[in-house]
Amino acid sequence: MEQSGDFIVFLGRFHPLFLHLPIGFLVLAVTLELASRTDKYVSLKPAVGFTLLLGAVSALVAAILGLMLAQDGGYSEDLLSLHKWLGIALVIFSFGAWILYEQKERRQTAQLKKAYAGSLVLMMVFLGGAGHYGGSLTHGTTYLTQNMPNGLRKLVGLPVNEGPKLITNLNEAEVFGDIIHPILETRCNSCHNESKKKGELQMHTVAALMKGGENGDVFVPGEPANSTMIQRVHLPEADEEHMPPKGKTQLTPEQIMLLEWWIGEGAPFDKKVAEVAKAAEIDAILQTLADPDANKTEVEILLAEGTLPPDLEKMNALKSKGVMIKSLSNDSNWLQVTIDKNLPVADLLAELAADFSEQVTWLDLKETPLADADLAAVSNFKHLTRLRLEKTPITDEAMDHLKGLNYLEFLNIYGSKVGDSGIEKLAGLRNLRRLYAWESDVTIAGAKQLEEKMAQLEVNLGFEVQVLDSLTVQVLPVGQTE
Amino acid sequence: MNLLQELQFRTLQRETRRHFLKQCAHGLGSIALGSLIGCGPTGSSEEMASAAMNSLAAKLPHFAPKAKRIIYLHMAGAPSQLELFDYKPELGKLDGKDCPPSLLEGKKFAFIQGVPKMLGPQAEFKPRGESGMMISDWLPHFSTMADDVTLIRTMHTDEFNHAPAQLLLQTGGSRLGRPSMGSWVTYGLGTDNENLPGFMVLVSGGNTPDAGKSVWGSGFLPSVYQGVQCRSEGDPVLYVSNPEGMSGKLRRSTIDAINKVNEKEYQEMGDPEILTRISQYEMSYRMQTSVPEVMDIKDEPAYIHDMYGTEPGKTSFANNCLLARRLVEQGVRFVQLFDWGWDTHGVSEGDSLEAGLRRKCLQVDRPMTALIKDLKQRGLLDETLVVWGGEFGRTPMQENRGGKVWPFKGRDHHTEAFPIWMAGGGVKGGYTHGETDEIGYYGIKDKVHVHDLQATIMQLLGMDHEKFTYFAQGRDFRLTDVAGKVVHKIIA
Repeated sequence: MEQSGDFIVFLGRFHPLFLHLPIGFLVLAVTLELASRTDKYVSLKPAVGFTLLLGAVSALVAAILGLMLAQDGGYSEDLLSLHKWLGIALVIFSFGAWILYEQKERRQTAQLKKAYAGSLVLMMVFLGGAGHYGGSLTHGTTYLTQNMPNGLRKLVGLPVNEGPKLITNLNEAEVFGDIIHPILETRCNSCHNESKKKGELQMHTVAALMKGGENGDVFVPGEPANSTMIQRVHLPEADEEHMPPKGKTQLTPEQIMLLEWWIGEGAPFDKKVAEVAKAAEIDAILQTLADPDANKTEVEILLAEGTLPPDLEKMNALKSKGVMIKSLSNDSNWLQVTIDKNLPVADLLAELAADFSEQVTWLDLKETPLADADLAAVSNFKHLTRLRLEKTPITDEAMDHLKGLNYLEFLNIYGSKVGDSGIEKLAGLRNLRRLYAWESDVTIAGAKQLEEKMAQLEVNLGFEVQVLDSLTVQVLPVGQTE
Repeated sequence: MNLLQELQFRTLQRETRRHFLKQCAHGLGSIALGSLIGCGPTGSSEEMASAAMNSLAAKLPHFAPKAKRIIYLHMAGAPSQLELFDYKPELGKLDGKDCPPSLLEGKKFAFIQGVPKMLGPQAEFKPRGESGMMISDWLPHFSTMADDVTLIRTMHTDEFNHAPAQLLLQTGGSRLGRPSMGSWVTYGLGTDNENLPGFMVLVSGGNTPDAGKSVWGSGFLPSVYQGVQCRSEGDPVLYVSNPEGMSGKLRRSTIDAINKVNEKEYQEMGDPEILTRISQYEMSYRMQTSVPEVMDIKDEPAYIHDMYGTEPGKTSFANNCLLARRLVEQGVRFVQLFDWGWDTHGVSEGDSLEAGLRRKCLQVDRPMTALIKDLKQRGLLDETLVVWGGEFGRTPMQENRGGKVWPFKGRDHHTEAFPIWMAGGGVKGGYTHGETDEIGYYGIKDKVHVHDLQATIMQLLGMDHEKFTYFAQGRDFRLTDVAGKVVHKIIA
């Protein structure tokens, strides 16, 4: 009789659809009852009885469908029985309220009136209770409070939400307990938990995870590619089998890589991070669990932090003088500025330094007739990250003004008169990564010397072109030709 | 009563109900149709005018850009991945054997009929640079750049003919009417140099791409954003210089007068195309000096000409590469190069792999390598994105057009896997993205659709491709249509 079993579940699945009818009817009945006690709506009184009856009958149908759905299984027994009995109580009390209403209409005794009012109150309590636990069955018990503001959480006595917890000591952290479990908890457990086991699978405890679901094991230790969990997260999102299901928050690429790493390393439940091998890529992700900024440079952190809004009027004044000044993007107060070679660069630079010393982070002064002393104004831009000074007549002296630009990452002095003693002055700029010094007075030896002092710096001195034959040239970085 | 009023009055007296109904039949009908298909104006003319003004003003990117400018090198005709970037030794073993039916079932090819023979790689490959990226011997110069580029081997497209595939790649839709990538970008980000157009196009190889000038058209965007085609021979931009006998002063006052008339017309009609016309007159006047200056490569030193293999005065891909560098140096936002002649079917010596493709490689290898290196030494590569590729790939089978065995080696159009490389502008160096199967037929890991590529390019330029839309013909449009996922793995 497997066929009929399936048919019952088929009908049962109309329960979540149908249950909204009794909720609507019964709430309407109580609203009508209350409204009809005012003079204005007294004419609504005869409607109460009929609405109550409708509510009671639909509650009965919803309850029967609910019992059918319970055959489907996969629900927590405790939560289900609470929901079931509250629902049955609701059916009884809604019929009760209707009978009392009819009696009260015939014999207007004070006792009947009291009993009727009491039955309405209890009916609403059961309605709320059955509805709440039904919601918890479908969406998980934390569904309602998950996004509750912290102020309200304190009020109702729930633990305050502190955002993702950071790991304090990465090497001592447990691979499963501190890294893998939190991923499963946020992305899998809302459907695979103690009270709800979709596909006969629970993932809230180690034992449950090991047990697997109706499709067998969740993972094969050491073989991420053959593990159902990994296969499913890699399926296209539109695929029926994809996990987490379409519409739910998806795993990030980093989270998937961590899951693959954990299974690849034999899916250990008791090992610490220090005891498990990890590729550089995984290590970089793990670092972010201890410090979200771990893989970011100082400059990236600075730019992400943001800055004060610039004075728009003064910005427009500069624009009207021909300066290209604008934000890096729509959501940022950082400014990029280009001063054209035909503009009075010294004056404009002084003006810029007076009003926008905080915000300017990209500055382009290429081909301007800059004098060394004019760069004194540039030393005010303490958040400068990119500076273009190519093809300007500046010399070694000019570099003195850049010494304090601690965030400077990119400096272009190609085609200028700056030489080795000039770039030596840049040695203290801890964030400097790129220095373009082609066609300047910088020598190969000078560039090498600076690169030795600054591990992350790359000095570009341009390329040398050697014609090998009519079709072939050898173009090698200066200093690499034999 | 004056004469005109009297005339109107008389006319109205003669108009009967019959006249009215007769005119209604098509009059009202066409009005209704117009509003149904969304042609009619939806707001007041003032609203439309201000909307048009806003669309002409440069906007800011959604987030801080990795690349400020882009040079797109489009190899029109589709180069063969199997000779250049996708090393398939297994395919060599199958050379000359019949193609297995599993590769042909349910497939449509442009020319292949019946059962073709497999065709092994015609070029040798070697691992290059520290990254060991596999690059063909046919690109000896470019091989030195392996550690500076990201190579995507698993591009795929929906179209197997040149024109629709070029449109899909450059405009996001395979039919005519969509704005090109360059138009979108200049519409979104404006230009950094008001003396030059924000979107410039250079064509080499003897032909414009099969899809015609629509691949750099502005579609439904105001036409001020369409690509401006420059020539490296003769006048760089046609009809921009003054004709004989016309002085600069006279030209200026002519333009001033025309613009005044146009401004009046715009105030009355509110048509954004009038604004386009005004700004084009202004731009072309400024371009009279700025364009010849930037397009004259004679003043480049000899070693730069050696590096690119350029010859001033000729139309060549090499000259266009050098011009591209000069244009981005001047702040042009989007430089689009098209090089025609990559359609190696093998039905003649000229379009064979062994001769035609090798010749094309010789033409582009040195200049495209020089372009990257030259941008690098000027400190421009960090913020300039260079993209190279065709509109689709080529089959691992030898083409057998007309069921014949051709004397030359060639490959048919193939949509499932083709390569694109990118350099600079925030992409990784020495990184190979995606894997194809043993014969380079399908991508099997990290596939990248044309829309994904577009989404990624927009991302690098600071634009969220899903938020960057333009309202036209009754709905919002975007470059990536309703698809496209940013390929984060290639972003440094």
